[in-house]
Parts: sequence; structure tokens; C-alpha cells
Amino acid sequence: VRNLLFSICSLVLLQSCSPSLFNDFRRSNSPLDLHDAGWFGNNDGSTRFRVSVNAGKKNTTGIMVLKLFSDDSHRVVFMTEMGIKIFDIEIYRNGSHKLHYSVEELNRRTMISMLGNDLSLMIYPFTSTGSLKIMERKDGSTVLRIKDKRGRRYAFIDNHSGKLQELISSGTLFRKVRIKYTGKGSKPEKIEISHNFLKLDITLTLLK
Amino acid sequence: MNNAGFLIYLIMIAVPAICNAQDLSPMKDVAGFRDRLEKMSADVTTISSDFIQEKNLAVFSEKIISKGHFVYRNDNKIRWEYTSPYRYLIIINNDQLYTSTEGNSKVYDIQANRMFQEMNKFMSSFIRGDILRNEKDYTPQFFENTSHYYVKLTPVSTRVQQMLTGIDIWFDKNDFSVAGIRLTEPGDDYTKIDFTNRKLNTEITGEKFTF
Repeated sequence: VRNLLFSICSLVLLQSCSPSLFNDFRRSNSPLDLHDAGWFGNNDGSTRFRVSVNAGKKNTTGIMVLKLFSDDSHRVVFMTEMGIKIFDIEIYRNGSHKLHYSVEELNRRTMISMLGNDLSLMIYPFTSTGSLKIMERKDGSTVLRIKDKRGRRYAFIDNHSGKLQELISSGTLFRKVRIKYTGKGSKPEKIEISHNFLKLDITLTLLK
Repeated sequence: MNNAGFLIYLIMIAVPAICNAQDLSPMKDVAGFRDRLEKMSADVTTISSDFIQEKNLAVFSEKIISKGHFVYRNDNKIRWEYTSPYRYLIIINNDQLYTSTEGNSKVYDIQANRMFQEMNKFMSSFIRGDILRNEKDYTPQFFENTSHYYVKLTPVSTRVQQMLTGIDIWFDKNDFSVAGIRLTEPGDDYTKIDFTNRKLNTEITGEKFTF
């Protein structure tokens, strides 16, 4: 009985955490170019960001370089300002990732998995393997409802620029991620990644 | 020419002057070089210099350039300040290490952190050139050209080999100051730092190292 009660409570809790605030959707017939809506799909040059990571009370800063590496992957390298490489990871279009290098302190399975998941959602927010529905909210804005092996997520598209503005992923409990993109040109000027159940916030600012 | 173009031009003309390996020959008087370096190391009380840091990421075939200014005082004080691509400041003042970047400042106790102890030891030994005495961790090879002495250090300890496969140091023949260093990592990534506008033994007040 105790287990049953615990399961019911867990289900209620989890359900309450899911993004039920998006109930005002209706199916949209408007065409949408996903290649143009994403920030990294068409980018064949490298992009450099100044990165600030707040994990609990600790703050780490550094430089991230991100580049299209093959037709199906991006390579991401993070280093300190002094040039010490922290990690080098390859993110694939299908949502998987491959670690090429990591400093010993970071090289834990859960850490790398979370890192790969965040970067995967940031670079490839849409899907090449799952389902994708284009919806419209009452205010006319476009929302994509996506489901694949990375979980369920909602992508909010800015109606003026046609660019992805925000991604809310409702994956498993500790993988609830919100990614906000800000920018006017072809590259995002700022990306903010936050986690619902973890004190882990990552801010990327474009280096020009 | 835009700023980036001008910077690349500067690097193209300045770096080969130091790093051109073709005109290098084995150093004629290694003992004399060591003696003079020891003397310079003992005589120098302060160093200030601008620097250009070049991080080469082999996987992207691309270089990340940072610039800044650095100040050293021989009572265990270092100020390492990046001004480009953004401001980032590191100060080592005896047992404390301070970092600061846009609205974020931190102070660490060097003695409480082994990594910072190593970093402090490494930076100081480079600046004074006394890394050459550490033959337990590195095997040195000595070369020279008309303007520079060049020492190639190959790590021998497994601990260092995991991080670095080679260290190259260029010393100016006029004053024996370090003109450039290059740290090569496994996988052929490297970080090269060229020191320009070097000034030795000028007055540097304690304010530079307060935080």
C-alpha cells in the first residue's frame, strides 16, 4: 500500500511538473522551414561563445567553440580563458553524442550524459527521428510539439524572425531543460540554459 | 584593413621571427646560457609585458586569439589580465588567487588547492625561466638563432605527459627574458604565448596585486 501511495504521489507530482500550460494549442496549417528556424543547422563556420556556468554556488567561465563537423554532427570544445581544454564532445543530429576528451574532474557518466543532452537540445532542437507537430497558439504564435528519444518538448518560434526563441523540454525528472535564444542575425547573441530541478544555469554569449 | 586582419598580419610577421625553426642551430654554449639565465633570474625583481595568446584547436584547424597584459613581481605576485576577446583577470598574491570577470569575482586559497599550487609553480617557473632546472620532469634540448635562445622541453613524467607533450621556450638574447612559450597537448592542440613590450625591473606598486 505504501508503494502504491508513493507511486500515485510520484505520478501526480510528475504530472504537475509537465508543461500543461500549453493547452491553448490548435493545429496549424502554416508552412515552417525548420532549417531556417534553428540557429545552427545552416552554419558551416565556427561559432564562439563566452560561457558562464553556475552550478550551485560555484561559477566557472570559459570559451566554447562550436562547429559543424560532418553532415550529421557538430563538434563542441570548451576551454578556460587560459586555453586549458575542459571537454571536446561531438553532438549528433539523431540526439546521441560522443565524448572525445574531458578533464578527469568532469569525466563522470551522469555529468557527460547531462552535458550531451543539453548541447544536443541546444544545437539540434528539432527531430530527425521522432514526431513533430506544428501548432498555433491563440495569439497566433507558432509552437512545435516534438517527441523523440530525448523526450517531449515544445519549441516556440518568433513570428517575425521565424527563429527558435525558446525550447522547453519535459524529458525525465532531472532533464527538464529550458533553453532561451536571443539574437537578430544568423547566430544567437545569447543562449540561456536552465534546469528545473538542478541549480545548474549556463549562459552563452556570442563572441564577435 | 580591419582589426582582425591587422592582428593576423601582426602575428604573421612577428611570430615567424621567433619561431622559425629553420634557422635554428644547436646552442654553442649551454653552460654559459644556463649561468646567464640564473643570473638574470636572480637580478630581475619585476617584469611587465603585453601578450598575445594563440590557442590552436587541431580538430577545427583554427586559432583563438586572446590578448592582454601581464605583471610579475619577485615576491610571489603575478597579475595576468586578458583584455580581448573579453576582460578576465587573474591575480596571484602570495597564497591567494583571485579571478574576476564581468560581475564575478572569486578568491581561492592556493595552499588549499593542489591544482592552484601546481599552476602557481608552473607560471612562476616559466616567467623566471627556472623550469629548465626541473630535469626530473623534463628533458631539455638547446638551440639558438641570431636573436633568440630556444629550449625544447620534453616531459618525462607520466603525470605531465598526460597534459603536455612538449614545451618550447624562446629567450631574448639581449636580456634573457622569455619572449615566447608554446605548450603542446596530446592531440596536437597547442597554446602559444608571445610576450611583447617587455620591461624588466621597472617600479610596480602593490596596487596591481590588490583585490
